[in-house]
Amino acid sequence: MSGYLISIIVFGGVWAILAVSLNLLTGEAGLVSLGQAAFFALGAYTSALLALRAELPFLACLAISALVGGVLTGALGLLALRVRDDFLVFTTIGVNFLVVAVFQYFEAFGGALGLVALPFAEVAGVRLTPQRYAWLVLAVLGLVVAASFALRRTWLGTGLAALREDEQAARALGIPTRAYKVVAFALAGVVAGLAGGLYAFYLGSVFPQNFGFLVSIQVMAMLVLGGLGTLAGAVIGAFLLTALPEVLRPLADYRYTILGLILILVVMVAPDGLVGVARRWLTSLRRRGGQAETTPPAGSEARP
Amino acid sequence: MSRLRVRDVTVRFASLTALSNVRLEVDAGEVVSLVGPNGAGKTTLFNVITGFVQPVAGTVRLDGQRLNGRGSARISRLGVARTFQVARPFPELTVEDNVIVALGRASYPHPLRTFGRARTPARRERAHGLLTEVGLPEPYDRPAGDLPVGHLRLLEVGRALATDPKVLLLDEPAAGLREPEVAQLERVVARLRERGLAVVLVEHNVPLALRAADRVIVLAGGEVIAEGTPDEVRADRTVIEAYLGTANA
Repeated sequence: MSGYLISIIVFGGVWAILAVSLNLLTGEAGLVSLGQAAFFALGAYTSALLALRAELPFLACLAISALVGGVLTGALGLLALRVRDDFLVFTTIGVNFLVVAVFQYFEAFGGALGLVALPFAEVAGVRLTPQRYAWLVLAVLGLVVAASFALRRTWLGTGLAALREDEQAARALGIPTRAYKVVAFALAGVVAGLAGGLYAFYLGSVFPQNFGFLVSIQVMAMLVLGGLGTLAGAVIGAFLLTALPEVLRPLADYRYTILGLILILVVMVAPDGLVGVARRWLTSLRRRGGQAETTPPAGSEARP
Repeated sequence: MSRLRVRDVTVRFASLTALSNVRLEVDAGEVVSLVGPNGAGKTTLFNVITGFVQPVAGTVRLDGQRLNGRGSARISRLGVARTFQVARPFPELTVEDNVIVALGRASYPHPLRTFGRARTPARRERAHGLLTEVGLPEPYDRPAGDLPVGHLRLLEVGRALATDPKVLLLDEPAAGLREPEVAQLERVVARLRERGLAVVLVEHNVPLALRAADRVIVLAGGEVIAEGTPDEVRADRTVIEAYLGTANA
């Protein structure tokens, strides 16, 4: 693999993991977060601090990043209980700025100069080449996607879906919606923490400006472009928006303009994202193929 | 002891007194109809019983256990189920999943069982059984949002029953139903009564409310203005003036 391809896979993979994390909150539970970069930062800084100050091995850093991400994000989820749904998005934006400010102003966290010169990632004494690192990122991505799929089959996943659709009705059926919101934040925090740890070790350094509000917007754009609520959408959107700026390098200055245009277009033309478009296209293709009699989609039976 | 006992419940929204010293008792195997004009406080009373609205005074007890002050989810798990005045299914979930959601009351708050599988064959079968019982025709694998309004109401009744309640609060379940569906609903209510459920029925269809009930309570302006058997209430002058007046004049 070329170095260029490897970096696309690693960054695309890290963004995809973060998009899966956001999907847990917004897609599964209907909790809109525009502060995902803060949860990402918690993982990245945990890994960087542990590697530099405590000299813990790579995998231990990663595991603790997931744990710290889960606990702290879960705690922030308690805030979500205090605000009405419409204000949740503002609360998460506030959390994003707050977390970045804390990392920026406290010398213990490296301040504005960040934390640099992380050791190379090693597993069992073997240094991970960039190529191996790319495989590892893909493996972690596979794991969180599989876990997300599995979650949907559980009572927790079913309860979160009910919460997303109608919180009052969910409560009336015995679903502890307050506890479930905190759990959703904690799970999203675990996944974001993993993404942060992987990001920190790949770059070898972390800076507060890596985790600004625009990063949260970017992750939301990935998810919306791919298809909110779908895991395939989270992955496709993340890799597309990672590769796109590289492909359109001459337009690099207009990156956020293009991102904004894409978002507006998707929301207006295909609010269910690329996955939604693909699904509709497949359905119509199947119907045109004259196979409607095998598995017609509900309510679309042809009446002669 | 009554299964459900509401005592002297008073609810105020700002300066408006929505309920004033309301009493309601329902036994196991009894159907009580709650009738009254719009704004009488019927839905507010349901909201108090299910923990969505806190009363400023009064108590709600289920088998002697105090409900008011507890959360809605807890109250549901203790055995009080309700439907909503405007049907509120989970539109993106399938019809079947809408019912399966309601089968998890023992698992949701459990730290381990919450990670258990929800859609087992046995639960799917139970969901289908409940949907058949309330008279909702198949298919059950389409999104609930695609159902016509009458079927949404039947789905909501099925979903409420899936929580295996002791008390069932039905908020205008017949609104939007066609004649055969109303008859089906009546049969379902009669069966639930035989099975020992305590049912409270808020219904604008007064003939249905009187026909289905063992006792009728008439609310107006947040107060109980009459209570008795359907025949007694039908003959009550106060009721006729306050509510049935025009229809019986």
